[in-house]
Amino acid sequence: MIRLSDIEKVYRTEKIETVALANVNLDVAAGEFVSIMGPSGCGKSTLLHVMGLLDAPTRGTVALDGRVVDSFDDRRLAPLRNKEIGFIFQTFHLIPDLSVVDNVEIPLLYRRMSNAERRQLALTALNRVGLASRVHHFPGQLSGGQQQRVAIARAIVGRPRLLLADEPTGNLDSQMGDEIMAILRELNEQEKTTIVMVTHDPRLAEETDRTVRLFDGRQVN
Amino acid sequence: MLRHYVKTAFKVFARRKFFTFVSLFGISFTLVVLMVATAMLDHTFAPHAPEVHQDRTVGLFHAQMIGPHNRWSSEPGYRLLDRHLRDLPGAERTSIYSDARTVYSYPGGTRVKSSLKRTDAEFWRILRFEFLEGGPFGDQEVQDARFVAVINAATRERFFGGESAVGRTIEVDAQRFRVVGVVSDVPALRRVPFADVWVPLTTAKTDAYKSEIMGGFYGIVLAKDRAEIPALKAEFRSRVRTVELPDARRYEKLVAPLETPFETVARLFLGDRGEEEARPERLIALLAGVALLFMLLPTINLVNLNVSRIMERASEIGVRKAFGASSRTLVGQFVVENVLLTLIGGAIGLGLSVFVLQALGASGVVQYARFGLNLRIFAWALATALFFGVFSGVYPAWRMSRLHPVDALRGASR
Amino acid sequence: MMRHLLKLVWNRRRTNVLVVAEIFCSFLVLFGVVTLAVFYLDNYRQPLGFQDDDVWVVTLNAPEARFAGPRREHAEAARRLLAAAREFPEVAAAAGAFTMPYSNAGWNTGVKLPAGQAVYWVNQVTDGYDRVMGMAVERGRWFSREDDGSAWKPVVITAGLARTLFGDEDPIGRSVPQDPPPAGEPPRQELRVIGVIGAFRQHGEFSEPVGYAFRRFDAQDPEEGPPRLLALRVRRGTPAAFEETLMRRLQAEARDWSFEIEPLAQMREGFLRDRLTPLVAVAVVAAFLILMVALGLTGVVWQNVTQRTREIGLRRAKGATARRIHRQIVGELVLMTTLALAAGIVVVVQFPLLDLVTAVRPAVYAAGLALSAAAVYGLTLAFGWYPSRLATTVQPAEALRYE
Repeated sequence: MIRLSDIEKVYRTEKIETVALANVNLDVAAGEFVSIMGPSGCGKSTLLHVMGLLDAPTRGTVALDGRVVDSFDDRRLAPLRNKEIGFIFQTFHLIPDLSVVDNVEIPLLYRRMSNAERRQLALTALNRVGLASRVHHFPGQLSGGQQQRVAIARAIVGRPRLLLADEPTGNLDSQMGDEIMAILRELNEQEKTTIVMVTHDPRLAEETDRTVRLFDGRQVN
Repeated sequence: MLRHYVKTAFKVFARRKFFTFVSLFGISFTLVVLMVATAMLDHTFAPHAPEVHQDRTVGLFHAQMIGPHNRWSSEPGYRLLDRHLRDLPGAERTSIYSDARTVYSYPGGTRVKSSLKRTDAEFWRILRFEFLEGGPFGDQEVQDARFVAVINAATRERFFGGESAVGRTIEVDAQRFRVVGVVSDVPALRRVPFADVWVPLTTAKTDAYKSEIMGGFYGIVLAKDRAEIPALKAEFRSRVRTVELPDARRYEKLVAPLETPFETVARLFLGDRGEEEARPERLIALLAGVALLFMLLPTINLVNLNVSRIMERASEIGVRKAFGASSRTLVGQFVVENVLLTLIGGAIGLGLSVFVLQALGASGVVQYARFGLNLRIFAWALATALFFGVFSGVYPAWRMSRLHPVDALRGASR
Repeated sequence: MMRHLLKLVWNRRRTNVLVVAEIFCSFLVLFGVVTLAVFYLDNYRQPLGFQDDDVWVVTLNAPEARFAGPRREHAEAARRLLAAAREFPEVAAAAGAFTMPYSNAGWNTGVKLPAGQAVYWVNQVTDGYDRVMGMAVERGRWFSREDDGSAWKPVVITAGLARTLFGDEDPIGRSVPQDPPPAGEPPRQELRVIGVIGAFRQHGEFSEPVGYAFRRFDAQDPEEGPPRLLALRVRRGTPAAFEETLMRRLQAEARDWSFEIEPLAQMREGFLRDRLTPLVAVAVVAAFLILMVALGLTGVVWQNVTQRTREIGLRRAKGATARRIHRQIVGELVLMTTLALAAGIVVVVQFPLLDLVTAVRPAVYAAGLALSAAAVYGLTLAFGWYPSRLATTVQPAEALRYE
């Protein structure tokens, strides 16, 4: 599904260079549920951003379905992010100005389809995460768990084959976290969605097919 | 998609009321100034009644004699118009009328100041005045120098307290005229038709005017068709070359082109006075330049406001990028938001302009002015608002769209 | 501290350059309006040189005859009209003139002097004009019968023009320098100064003081045409109804002429209105522009402070740093204002340096510059200080919640 080879990511400021990732190789097969673990600041999120085509590596190659995307510019990357990838963030990143259903529709805005169709797909996705009754609420009116479920609905509404979750349960209590985990697992099992999840909770990591560990930007096996 | 943008935009406007207020203040104020200026130009130059055939009317509004050391410019004289303006090929009608002159009357011991124009009968056929009562004077009355007058509604009010005036007598400029018609007021800025009192040319106190090449009169020509105008102008130009100038020792050349009032203003305003060719597009370009210069500060102001708020939208930008919005799409979204804001500002500005124009009209700064908004001005306003919205929206939108998605997401979460 | 500020401003140059541009444009707008206001105020304080109350102006419209017309007959008719006006007990003094204050008709002339081109305005009047207008002759005398038949033309000039033409020397009896006539024209007649008046500001109290010269209508000169107007000083308390009586009398004297009668005070009102209306309109627009800029800068500063306070708050800084940010932002604003002003002043001083605006005295210019610069500093400080103060009172925790 996605293959990272010899990834290196260096952040430069005027005075210092920070190596966020070095020599990372990762191959995620279709339908896999992979977790990435490591202490904070070890480069987990950076790795996820590289996989999500949000951030270009300083060196190395990213291939999606065998297609090398290193030379792609913004105009060619955008449709890939739109169709192939879904994001879930630790802090949800819902747009507070928009209602739940409008938030979920966002990925579909960048595709050609009718308003009705878009609305239909969004409602289906919300149904899927059990929020059919909160369609016209605003994010501020929902609990953290509900917000994250909205975020999942937004991530899956476009039926991406790769789901990237950045500590999806990090801001939630354990009961809500379990709910979220259950949804992710169900997606993986029923829809065969490939999932890569960053977490520092070993209990959650155990529930996945495979765990990749990072320490100081390097893979540890 | 558009609906989504509009929804987002309104939420953002409502959330940050101060910024929305400041933006709308700047936009609506800018558009009020531009719209009022446009309305005044429209009021002065656009075709309005009684100048209903303006598209196929040209006139001689300014003449100039040029010599090596001397220049004499003024209105054309009667002789020049009478001898050379008549019977042009392609002309349907030709009218000669005098400059409006201030004259005094003392009905009932109070002083009344009026503008008096002496005209021929064709004047009433080329210009379509709205007659409130009676009608114009005709060829026979002009030929016989009968003392008859057409007055405007304001003059009727001053002399007769608004009662019916036809058949009654007024004394202006120490001459007595019988009123034959009353027309509604014509704004003073409409130089061609404007007057308070119109009387036959031939009632002038002496006929000394008939021998003058320069001074005191104007002529207008109604072409059969728009397409005839260039030929008509060319013919008149060649006729002007044959005119024998008085005082040949001082003056060698006569410049007297047939033009629209706007062309005359453009030619005289832009300075090169000896020129025969009017270049109205230059005046239009100059006006557009002034408008752009005026819009510069409001634009920078709006751009600064928008740029200062980029980080406020960081999270949204990050999310949209993560879910497949390209930079170009985001530019589109933010420009749409800005255009929406300018359209709202434009609507407010339109309302305020109506108010300002009414106040201006009521202030009497310009006599009989009826500044109003019409579809033409509205279209201009809309175009200006859109231009302004895009103009001031593109740079901040570009800056916003360039925000790196990772930074954008981090900026809001850390 | 200065270095630090400079660095901060430089690092955010892409945003700051626009703020500097905005302040720069605002300065130009303010400068234009303030300088114009100073110019007008300065002019207003200068002496006018005449008294406009109780003066009536009669415009004489002879039958249209500008070239071939019988100038001699017209001049004769004008003399009869003047005499007729003087017969009325209501008329204290009367004179003929080419033009009057607050009239748009003007006649100016220039002469090349060693110091450069001198331009001044000219009026031609009859003997009693000084009494009608309440003018005071400072040196020498006004026109009178003794000027009849002299070989030269007598002129009365303003003190300012005397200084331009003759420096500190006594102008009385000197002849006014004139450019040689164009080829083929007869030589010019000598103009000899017989009197000096303080000032005469034909274009009113807001116009810049300019050199002014009076020439005399000479009844003996067969070439002389008629005056364009009569100026009458009427006795105080003369009713407006006298106008009709006067009109009928004049009309009876010259049947085919037309007349316009207007009190000078009324002409003044109309003239000043025509001149001031566009200026007031421009000033109102400028005031709105400045208000808009002030509000806009308030927004920008407020946003900057909130953002940075939040950043600091997120790094768990204490309240004391909020005040530092506040000071820093105001400091940055002052620095940017200074940059904008420096650029603005460089542009603005080109006008006097390149002699583009000659009507405005350098002192007025300097005053306008100083005032508008002070106003820009005042505005940016006032509208920068308050929002940054406001923003620093926002608690970091509150700022965090602020999306």
